[in-house]
Amino acid sequence: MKILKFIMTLILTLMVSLFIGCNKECEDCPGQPPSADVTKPVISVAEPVNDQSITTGDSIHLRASVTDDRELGQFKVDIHSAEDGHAHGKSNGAAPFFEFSKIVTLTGVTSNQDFYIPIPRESAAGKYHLILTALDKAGNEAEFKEVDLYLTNPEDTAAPTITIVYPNFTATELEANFAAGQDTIQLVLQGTLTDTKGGTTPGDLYGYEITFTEEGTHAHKVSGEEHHEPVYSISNFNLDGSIHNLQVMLILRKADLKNETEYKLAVVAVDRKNNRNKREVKYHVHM
Amino acid sequence: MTRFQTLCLAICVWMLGTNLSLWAQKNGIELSGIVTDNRGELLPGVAVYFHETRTGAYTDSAGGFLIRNIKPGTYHLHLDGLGYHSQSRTISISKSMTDLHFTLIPSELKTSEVVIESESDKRALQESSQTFSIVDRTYLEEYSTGNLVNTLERLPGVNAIRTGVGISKPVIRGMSFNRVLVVENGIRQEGQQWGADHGLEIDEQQADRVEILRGPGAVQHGGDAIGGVVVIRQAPLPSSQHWQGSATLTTRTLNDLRGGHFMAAANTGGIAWRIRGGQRTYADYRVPADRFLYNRYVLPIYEGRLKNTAGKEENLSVTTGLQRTWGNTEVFFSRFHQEAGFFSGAFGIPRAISLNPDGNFRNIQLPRQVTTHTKVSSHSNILLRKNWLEIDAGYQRNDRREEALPHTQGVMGNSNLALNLILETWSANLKYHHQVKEKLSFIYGGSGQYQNNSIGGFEHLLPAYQSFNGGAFAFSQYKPHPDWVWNMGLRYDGGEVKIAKAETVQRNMAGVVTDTMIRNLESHRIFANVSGSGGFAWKPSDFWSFKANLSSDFRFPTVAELAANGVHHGTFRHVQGNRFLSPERGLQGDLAAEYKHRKIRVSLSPFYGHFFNYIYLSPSGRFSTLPEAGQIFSYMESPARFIGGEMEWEFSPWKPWHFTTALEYVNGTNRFTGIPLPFMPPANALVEVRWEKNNLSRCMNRLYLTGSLQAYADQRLTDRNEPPTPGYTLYHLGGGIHVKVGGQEVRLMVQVQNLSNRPYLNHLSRYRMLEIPEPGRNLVFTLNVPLKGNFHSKEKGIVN
Repeated sequence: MKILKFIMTLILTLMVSLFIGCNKECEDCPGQPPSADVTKPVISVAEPVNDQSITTGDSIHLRASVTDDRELGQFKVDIHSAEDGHAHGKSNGAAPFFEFSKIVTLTGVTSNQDFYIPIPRESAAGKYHLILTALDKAGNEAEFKEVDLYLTNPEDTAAPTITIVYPNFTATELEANFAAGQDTIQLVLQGTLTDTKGGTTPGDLYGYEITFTEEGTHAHKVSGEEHHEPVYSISNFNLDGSIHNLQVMLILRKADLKNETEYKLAVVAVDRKNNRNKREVKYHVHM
Repeated sequence: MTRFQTLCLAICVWMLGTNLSLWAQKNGIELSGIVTDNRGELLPGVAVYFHETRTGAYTDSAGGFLIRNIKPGTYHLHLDGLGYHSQSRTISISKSMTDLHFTLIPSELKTSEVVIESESDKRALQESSQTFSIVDRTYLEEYSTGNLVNTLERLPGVNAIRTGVGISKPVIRGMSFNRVLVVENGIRQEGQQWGADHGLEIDEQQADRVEILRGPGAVQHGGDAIGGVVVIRQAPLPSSQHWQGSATLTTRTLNDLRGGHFMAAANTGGIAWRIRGGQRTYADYRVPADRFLYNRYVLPIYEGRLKNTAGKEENLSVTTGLQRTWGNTEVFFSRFHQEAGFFSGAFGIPRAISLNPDGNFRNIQLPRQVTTHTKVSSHSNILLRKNWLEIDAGYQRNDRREEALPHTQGVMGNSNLALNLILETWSANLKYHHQVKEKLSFIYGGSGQYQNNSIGGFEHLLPAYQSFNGGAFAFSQYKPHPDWVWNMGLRYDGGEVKIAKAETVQRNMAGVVTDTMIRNLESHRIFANVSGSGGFAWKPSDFWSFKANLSSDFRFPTVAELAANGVHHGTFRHVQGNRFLSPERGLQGDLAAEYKHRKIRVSLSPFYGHFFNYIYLSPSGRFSTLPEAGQIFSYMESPARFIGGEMEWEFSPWKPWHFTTALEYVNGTNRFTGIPLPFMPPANALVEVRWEKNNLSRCMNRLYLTGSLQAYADQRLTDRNEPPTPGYTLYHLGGGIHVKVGGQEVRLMVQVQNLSNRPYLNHLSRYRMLEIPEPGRNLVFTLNVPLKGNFHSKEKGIVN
């Protein structure tokens, strides 16, 4: 046993000295920086402000600063539409979404960015995200900043008008009652979409989307948005002119729906400049 | 596919050929004797068998055994008895031997019963200068997580980099990707190991025994085996005139998994076969949270489930083999197919809109990963003049598809195939075990591997390439004294890689090419390296053993490290290779001390490694110009240090009770910047209490209950941009019963994982970046019916 104790002590001593030796050796390693940069740069935005409205054809005035304890690396500006895009085509004369991306290489520990971002006049109106990100030279990533912007197109500032004749969209709640043995309900929607470019100038309708969606039973309102995939959806993005007569039939199938549940029938109309309007009514499904 | 069929045909023809040449040896040598415990008590039911031929006998009621038909040669004789330390001894046989007497030492420790010898170098574990962990089928079944790598995470020094519940890759002592080698049936598993979201393509049910080498195994296995080696072995085929079968059903509440698995095997006259198949489907898994935080945004998790994490797995494997006195040969075929959804919020920056429930938890929507791994290999042990020659040959095809909506601007067509990587690997190994004299033995070996990678899909990450690697080694074992074993090895490797030039084009709406981007230039690299290792194992008494090992390791840079250039969506990174990287080299040392008594075992295994140029992904400080990408991360080399260790403690004070504790710690640091390396597992501890009894009554064969606790420390030692992860403690319960119903055994196993339904973040999870909590409480039920029998009882008493 004595010899074992001796060996254990020897091994332990060896290990400890290995650890210490290795840590020590590092202090005067030539060429090693005194300490590495692990601090993230910080971005602050002065302009634009959140929810700012800007007219296409004008410029966005960007004023932001990036600061860090050591050498800065790059700064990136990104602007893209905040809409998911599925209710907006890319052809048929619809205005294109505005997109912008710029990478600026920085030096020093503070950098003030002050420049104008011109928005082409033909750009689609609507909600956009402006995202600012930054890196320092060592690769530390700053927390990104996001600004919501609303673009308006001066050629057409008016959203289409939705007039629904049937069903009664002014009611607080409508009922969809499945009688015993009934498997489907035909829901007919009649109305008119009209568009102007403001005043009396005739507009240019682009399309509509009609959805039948379950109401948020899970009261999850997250960053102002509430989402549920529609049970039914009908759309048409090939409209022309300033008036469209809406005559659509939805067939509600019992199998797709939940009993005693609130649904929402919504109509969204869009013009070619992406001005949009929405009308909706609640439905109570009873089987 | 035609190439594949040709290969199958070739194997069939070869099998036929070997069958025709039945080398019947009627008048072989015989071996007989007795087995007793250390007090001279005769022991019945002890398995006495040769490792090489997998033939042998059980001792009868008087402790005697008799093995017939042995060819002269050097064998490794194994002795396994329930309640005793397993033994492995080298035995040189030239003529019949009677009156052999083996003594077994009693043990109440669970691990003592399975520890035999290491599969990779055919040495008793106590003679190796390195540390191994071995688990058997029982362990894999009773602690099953549904995924082989996650099940192994319980072992000290082993962790997993995971993506959800279905995809995992092993981490040993803080090293992963191409630094951990997985070997199944003698062939290295090759399937784009460089990717964090590329899991191991091996069916959990297929593994019968898993052996984990903690620390470098580069000399015998070639480069890549820097951090460790995971050796997976299938169950031995049934012995002559026996048949086996089993049916297993599994269900898990976490993701409503339903799985079924069957196996059938038989052996007639030394020609054996086995077929195994299984399928499992699972739904989106539950997390104990209703929201997650991503960069100040609160995002919803509807109905407590992570959307689109459902998946399915289909596996099939066929093994045929021939067992003769001159050795054995086995041919394996396996096909692993997995479809696994990626959490919809984990591709690009998560937005509330992509998290809406789609009304179906079981569907596998986009984005998803579809992996098919097909493998054919053979393993042979041939007796050549008293020494053994081992031959492995294999072909494998890894088809990895990432499917997503073509969100990149201007991508033409309606294909959802974002990325397709097809890697074909041909490999061969040769090992000659040469017993020079009683005290000295050598293993000489060589290996070669050819790979061809082709690419497809609308995204680009990795170029097409061809590579060839070859190596030769010599490994010696010197046993100057029964208590001392010295090991030494030397290896030379060469490699060549030809990387094709890759460029991608940008098209406008009309399909006209507007921009061409060169992703990587054509390159041709040649590598060569000499490596070596040496160490000793010293067993000064029956209770104590000590080990020390020092090795110089290397790894040729992978093609991903040399030439990747593209966006890896799951990590929001633009990954960029560096074609000037040199082979990674390092020096590693590890020690181990163990005290083992009848009721207690304590072991301590510290390690230290220094790498001259450790290759890993580091932030570049530059933004990517590719869409949906953040910063460019490029592969860089930097000196690095690894330090850490494991401690294990096993205690069985009273017969049915077992207490186990395992601790592990690792710290990896970039020695140039002083910043920790990424993906380092936090220090953690596992404490388990187990109550286990076998042969309780005539109709109850086994009953066990376990309770365990896993505690993880905070991980604050993180790389740049890697957030620290808070610590957590998890509790698990388990239990099982093996009953006999009308003569047929039925096994039922139940587990409760994460009993307290604790929300926690796993530092090694790819979803950690999104702050998505890990799986919640999970109830696992497994029902298994094993079947076995014999055709007619002419050759009684032969075991595997």
